[in-house]
Amino acid sequence: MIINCKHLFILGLLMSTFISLPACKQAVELSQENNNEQAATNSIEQDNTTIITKDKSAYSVLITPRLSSLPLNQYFDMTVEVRSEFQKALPYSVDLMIDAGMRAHNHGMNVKPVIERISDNKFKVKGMLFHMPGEWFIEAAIKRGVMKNTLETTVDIPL
Amino acid sequence: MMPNTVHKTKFNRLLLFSIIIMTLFMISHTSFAIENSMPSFSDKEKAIIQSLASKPQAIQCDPTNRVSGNKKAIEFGQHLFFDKRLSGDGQLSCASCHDPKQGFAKHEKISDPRDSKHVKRHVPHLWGMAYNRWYFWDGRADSLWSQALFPLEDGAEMANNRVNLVKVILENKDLKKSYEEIFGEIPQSLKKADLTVAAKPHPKQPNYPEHQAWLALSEEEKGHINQVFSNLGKALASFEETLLAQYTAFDQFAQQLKNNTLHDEAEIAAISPLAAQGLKLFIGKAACINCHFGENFSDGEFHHSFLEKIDFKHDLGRYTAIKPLLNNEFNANSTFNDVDEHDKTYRNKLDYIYQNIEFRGQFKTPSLRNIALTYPYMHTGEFNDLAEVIDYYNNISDRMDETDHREILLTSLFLSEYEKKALLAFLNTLTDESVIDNIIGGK
Repeated sequence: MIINCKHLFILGLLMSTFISLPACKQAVELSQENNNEQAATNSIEQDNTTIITKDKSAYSVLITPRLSSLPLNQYFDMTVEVRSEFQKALPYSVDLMIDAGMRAHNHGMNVKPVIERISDNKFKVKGMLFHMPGEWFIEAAIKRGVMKNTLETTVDIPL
Repeated sequence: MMPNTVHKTKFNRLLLFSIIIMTLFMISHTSFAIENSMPSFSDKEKAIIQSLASKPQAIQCDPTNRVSGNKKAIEFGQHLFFDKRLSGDGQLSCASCHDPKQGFAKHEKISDPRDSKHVKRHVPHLWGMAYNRWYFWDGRADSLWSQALFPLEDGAEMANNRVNLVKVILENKDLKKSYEEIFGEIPQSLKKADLTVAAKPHPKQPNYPEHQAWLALSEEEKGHINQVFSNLGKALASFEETLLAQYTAFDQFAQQLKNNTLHDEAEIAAISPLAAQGLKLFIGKAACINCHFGENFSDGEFHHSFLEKIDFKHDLGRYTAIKPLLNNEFNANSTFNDVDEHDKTYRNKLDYIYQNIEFRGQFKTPSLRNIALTYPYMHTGEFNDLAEVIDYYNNISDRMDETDHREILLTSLFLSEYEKKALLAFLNTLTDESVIDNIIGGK
């Protein structure tokens, strides 16, 4: 059999497809994962509380006061309650960590809030400070044993 | 050449010349027209402008200082501010570096009155101190009164010590009378004590003679000395809180916008159209508003502006200020805080600060009120005028280093020469010298 240029071209094409397949698969998975992250988190405001939920998460988080009322460059406290995905009381207790920052600015808060437990799944988060106007993310990390779930939402802090 | 052709050539030249003249006229006229046209502001922009306007009634006294806003304390504080007896050698006062004739700042890159080589930062101006959350460029003090105590004992500045300061108050009738009218009688034990020894705490240098002398004093004496010392800071702070530039041309313009009177033919805008265009840039394209917001034109927080590299050979600003702030014997957690000890409102901001690697190279955003008076600029004092500062931010991407922790939004602005001129014109509308005139006139 004579191997000509045409055969070499087809062989090259097959090889490059084979090599790039895992990378493509990984990229698609990553993209789906990111889409899930973005699409799955919802937040709604009810009275003075913002309820954050996330698809396929075991938890929901209730933040008081509602996020749209948070002040610019003034310390504020929040009450954060962790509930089940259907916003029912949890039959066990969890730990909570709170973080916040501005992705568009590449920085977090200039403060480290103090978290005090009020009851099994209700916490007082003291000393939050959004020192610049713009979009801030708030991330609630819920820990039970070694398992950690995070719920995140964003809030626009106007001038 | 035929006569007709000559005519045609002459005509063509004349036509070309006329077109050039007309074009030049139109260009100059257009730029004149742009420079003289008042920009319109959207409702959102108008709301932002109102948030920047001064609200004199809204200023609150400092609850950690029981004599904040007290008229006698303000007068005493002003007297102390200019009094050279407060320095160790009687040569310097607070006003030596915060000179009212220089906008309560100093027109020097670095002011090092004792040639100590220890002063690394430009003298900050004192405008709008009443609004601040933290003090000094790096925020190592949490109240204006505790800040005022540092320079009194700093060897590179007034180089005094707290025992001698008590002695100065006791030995000078004018100072003693004013002090006791405001803070009550100085404890008898101090009147009888030997105050000739130079003493102050110096925990980092335990063998320092002044530190040893301080340790030798009784607890009661130390407590009383610290009480008088902190009260001097409180009187100074009461005066410094009055250094406000609230009646600027910008504030008048904001009022005109609020009253919607700029359309009246008789109404003359308080700032020029060029400055108004600069204001529009300030709250828009130039993005100055991201850090310079509120009526003090400052967020009072800390940012890295790429003036110096963030390594341990350079000034790390806020990063190195956290521990001294938490250890400061006169901070809000101390017994010298006049807020009731059960009221945590004015104590707990110390509970939330921490040392974060992100804080390296960060310095406090200065107020822009009276900024035209307080050159040179930045904590390094490296820019001689505001045009240089605008140029710096306009091309800031050139100064960034890959190792810098960046505020991503802080990138070159791509302002045109005209826009830079407009921004400068706006910054010049933030001047109000009435307080300076009153102080200099009253002295």
